[in-house]
Amino acid sequence: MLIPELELPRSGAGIIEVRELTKRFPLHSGKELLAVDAVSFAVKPGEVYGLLGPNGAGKTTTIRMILGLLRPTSGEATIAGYSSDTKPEEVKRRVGLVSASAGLYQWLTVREMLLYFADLYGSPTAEAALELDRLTRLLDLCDLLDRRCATLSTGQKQRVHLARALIHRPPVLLLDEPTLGLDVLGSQVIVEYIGLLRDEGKAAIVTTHRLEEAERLCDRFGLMHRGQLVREGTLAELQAETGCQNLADMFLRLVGAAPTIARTAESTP
Amino acid sequence: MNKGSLSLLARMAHKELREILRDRRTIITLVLMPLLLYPLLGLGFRYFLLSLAPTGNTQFRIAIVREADELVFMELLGKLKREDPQITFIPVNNIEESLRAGDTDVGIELKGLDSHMDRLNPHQSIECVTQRMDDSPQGMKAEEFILDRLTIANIKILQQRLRKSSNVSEPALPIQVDTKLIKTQEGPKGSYLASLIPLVLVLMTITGAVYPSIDLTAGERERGTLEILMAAPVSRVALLLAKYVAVMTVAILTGVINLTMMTVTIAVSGMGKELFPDGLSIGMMASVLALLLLFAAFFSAVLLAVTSFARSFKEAQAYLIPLMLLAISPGLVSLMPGIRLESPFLMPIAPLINVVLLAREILAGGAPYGPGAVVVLSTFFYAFAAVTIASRLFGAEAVLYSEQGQFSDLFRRPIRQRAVATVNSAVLSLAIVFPLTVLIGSGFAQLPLTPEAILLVGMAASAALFVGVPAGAAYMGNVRPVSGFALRPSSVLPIAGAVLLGISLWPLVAQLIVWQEHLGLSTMPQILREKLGELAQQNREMSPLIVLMAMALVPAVVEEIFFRGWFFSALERSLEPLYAILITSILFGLFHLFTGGFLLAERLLPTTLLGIVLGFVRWRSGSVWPGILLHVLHNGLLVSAALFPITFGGLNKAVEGGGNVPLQWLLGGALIASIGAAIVWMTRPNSNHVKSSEMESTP
Repeated sequence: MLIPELELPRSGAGIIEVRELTKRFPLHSGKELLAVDAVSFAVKPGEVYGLLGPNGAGKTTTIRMILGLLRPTSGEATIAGYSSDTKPEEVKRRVGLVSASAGLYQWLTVREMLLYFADLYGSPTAEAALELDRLTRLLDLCDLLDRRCATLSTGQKQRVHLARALIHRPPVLLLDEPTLGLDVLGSQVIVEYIGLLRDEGKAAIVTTHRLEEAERLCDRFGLMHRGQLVREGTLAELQAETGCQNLADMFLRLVGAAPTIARTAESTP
Repeated sequence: MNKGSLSLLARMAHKELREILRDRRTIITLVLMPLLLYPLLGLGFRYFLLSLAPTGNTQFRIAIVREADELVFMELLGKLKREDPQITFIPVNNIEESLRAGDTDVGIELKGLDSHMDRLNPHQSIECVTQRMDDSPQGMKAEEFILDRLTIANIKILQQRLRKSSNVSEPALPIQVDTKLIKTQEGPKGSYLASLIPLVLVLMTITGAVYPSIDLTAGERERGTLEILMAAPVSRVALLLAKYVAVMTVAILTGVINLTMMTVTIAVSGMGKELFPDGLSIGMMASVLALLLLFAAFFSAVLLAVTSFARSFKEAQAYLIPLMLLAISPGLVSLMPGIRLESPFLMPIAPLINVVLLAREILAGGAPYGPGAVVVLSTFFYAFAAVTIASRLFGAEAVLYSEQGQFSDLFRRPIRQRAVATVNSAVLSLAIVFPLTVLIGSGFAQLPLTPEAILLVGMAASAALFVGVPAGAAYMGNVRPVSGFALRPSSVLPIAGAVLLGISLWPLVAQLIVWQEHLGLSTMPQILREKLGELAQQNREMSPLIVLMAMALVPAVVEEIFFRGWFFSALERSLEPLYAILITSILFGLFHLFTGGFLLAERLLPTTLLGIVLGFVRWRSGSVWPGILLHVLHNGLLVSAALFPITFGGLNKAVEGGGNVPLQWLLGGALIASIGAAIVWMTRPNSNHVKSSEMESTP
C-alpha cells in the first residue's frame, strides 16, 4: 500500500480550509455532472459557517468531500492541516458529522450506540463515560439512555445524533440540515446547542434551509448555487453588497440571477 | 494488524452480533426453522418409507435356516390374534440370498438355545438376530413387528422370573435382539436419501447467513447508519471484517444448530440405520462440522461481497435470488448417484459442490485425503478472495452515494502508480491460480497427446497461469512491474550465494524425501509410483533439452516470479520479513502438494524448506533473479539425476527412490550450502532503500 510520509499539519487561517474543491460525477449518458465547482473557503475555530443554497447546489457534496467520504476530482480540503484525501482517518478523528440522512441502530439502546461510537473514535472508556454524562445533561437525554433507538421520536433522534457527533470531543462539526423535520422547540434546542459549541471554540459548518435560523446562528455565510460559491461574507457584508435586508431575499435574488455573480470571497478576512 | 486494532475489531464484531441477535427475524432462521425442519423431514421420510408398504392383510415371510427355530420363535412371539399379520416361515440355505432375491421379507436366526426356553430359569437367555434389506418397506414393518413382540416377551418373562425368586440381583435379559441391515447396492455407501443431508445442511447454513449479511450492508446503507459509520476513523476493511466475523458467527451457529437437530432427529426416530449403515461416529460429525465452518467462512464472504454491492434491502434480495439458485443447482448435481468427489477431475475445486460432495463422503464413512485436501484448500482460498472483493465493494463511493456514482468506478484502474501489489490483489491472484493449477495438474495428463506434447502443453499452461494472472492484476492495479515483481537487478554477492545453494541443496532434498518415506510419511499411491517409473523411462527417451526445459527451467522461473516476485513483494510491504518468508514458503509447499491429481504429502516439507531458502535469498537480495538462478539449478540437477542414471550413479538411485544419497554427497552438499547461505547473509537487505525511492513514483 502506498502510504506517504506523515504530513505535518500546516498552519493556516482556518481549522477547516477548502481550496478549489471540485467534484465531477460521470453520468450514465456519458456526460459529466459538475456538482461542486472550484469552491474555496476557510472556517476558524469558534466560528459557525452557514453553507446556504437551493437544493442541488452542491452543499452536501462539499461536506462529504471535506470529511473524506467522497474523493474530490481536484482541489483539496484540510482539517487542522490534514488533507481529507490522503489522511482521511486523521480528518475523521477531528470531525463530528450530523446529517439529515443519517440513521440510528434500531436494536441498540442510546447508551450502547453512543459508547460504541466513542469506541470507534478511540476514546478511552473512562473519558467516554464522562463525556456521555455531560452530553446527557446538556441535551436532556436522561430518560432516553436505556431505550432502544427505534422507539425514539424525530426530535429525540436528532439530539442523540448530536450527542453521537460530539462524544469524541471533535474540534470541528459538520452539520448537514441538522434541524430538518424538527418542530420549533426541537430546532431551538439544536440551535442553542450549536451556539454553546461556538463558545467552546469549535468550528462548524451548517447547511440549512431555515434562513431566519441561519441568521441567528451563523457568523459567516457562503451562498452556493449550481456548484459554485457565489457570495461569501457576514450578514452585514452581504446586506451591504446585495442591498437585501435578509437572507431570504438574497436567496431569491440568487436563484433568479445568473450564476456568475462577481465573487466576493476576496473581500472577507 | 496490531493488538489494539484486533481488540477493536472484536468489539465491533460483538456490537454487530448483538444487533443481529436482538432481531427476532434472525432467531427465526437460526433456531425455529431447524427445530421444525428436521423433525418434519424425519416424519416425512418415515411416512414415505412406510407408505411404500402394501396395506391390508399383511403377510410376513420370515426366512429361517434351522426349521427348529420356527417353534421356538413362535413361542417367544406369543399367540397371534386375528388382526395380527400372517406369518409364514420359509426355510432357506442362505438368509441374505433369499432376502436379496425378494423371496422373504425378514430373516431370523436364534442363537444360544436349541429347544424351547425355560421361562423360569433365570440363567437361560437367547439371542435373536434379524436381518432385512435396507430399502425394503415390508422388511422394515416386519422387523418393527418382531421387535415390538420380543420386547413384550422380554417383559413378560422377566416378570415371571422375578415373581419366582425376587433375590435375583441383576436379571439378565432373556431375549437379546440384534438387527442387521443388508445393503441394497454396493458402491456409494449409505442410502440414496442420505446424500440429501449434506445439501440440506449446506443450504440451511446459507439461509442463516443471508439475513444478517443483507442487514449489515445494504440494510445499513438504507437506514443511513452506513454514512455515520464511514465518517468514523476506522478503515473500510476493518468495518467489513467486523461484519464478516458477525455474519460468519451467525452462519456457524445456524450450521451447529442444524447439525445438532439433524443428529437428534436421526437418533430419536431411529432412522440412523436407514441413512447410515455404518453408523454415525463422533469423528464423522466433527469432520462434517469442521467442513460446515469452512463453508460458512466461504459463503458468508460471498454473501457480503454481493450485498455490499447493493444499495437497499430490496436490491440485495434481487441479487441474492440468482446467487441462491446458483448455489442450489450444483447442490442438486451432487445428488446424482454417479457424481463422486474424485470422478470428474474438477469436482474438488468446484465451489459449493465440492463441500457437499466431501460431506457426503465423510457421512458415508470416509473421504479420500487428496481430493479432501483440495476441497479444503480451494474453499479457503475462495473465502479469502471473496472477502477481498467484498472489502473493495463495501462502502465504496459508488455504492454509498448511488445517485451520483457508477459501478464502473469500482473497476477503474487507479491513476496513481503503485510500487507493489496490494495484499488484496496478491491474495486474489492466489485464489485464481491455485484451483487452476490443480486442474492443470490432473487434467492434462489425461489428454490424448504424446508425452512430449503433454509436457510442453503443461509447461505453457503453468507459465500462463503463474505469470499471466499476476501480470493482469498488475495492469489492473497499475503496479510498476520492476518493483511489483522485484525485477530489479541484484548485486553480485547474493548471486554467488544462490549459485552455491542451487548446486548443493538437491542431494539434501533427495535424502529428506528418502527419510520421509522411511518414516511412512509418503502418501504416494503404488499406481502413481509405477506411473512415475514409466514417465522417467519416457523422459529418458525424449530429448533431454525438452525435459529439462519443461520440468526444471520453466517451472522454476514462473514459480519464482509468482511467489518471490509478485506475492512476496506485496507481503513485504506490510509484514516483517520473517512472516513474509514463512507465508510464501508454506503456500509454495501447499501448491506442490497436488501433483497429477494426487496428494503427495512427502512434497510439503521439502518444498516448504526450499521455499524458506528462496524467500531468504529474495529478502537479502531484494531481487527475484538470484532465486530464479537457485531454483533453476536445483530443479535442473534433480531432473538430470533422474535423466542420466550412469553419470549420477548412487544419486540417481536416491532420486528414483531406491536408496540413500551417498554420505560424501550429503556432507559436501551441506558444506557448500552453508557457505552459500553465509554469502547471501552477508548482503544487507537494501530493498528498503529501493522501495523508498519507488514509493514516490507517481505519473
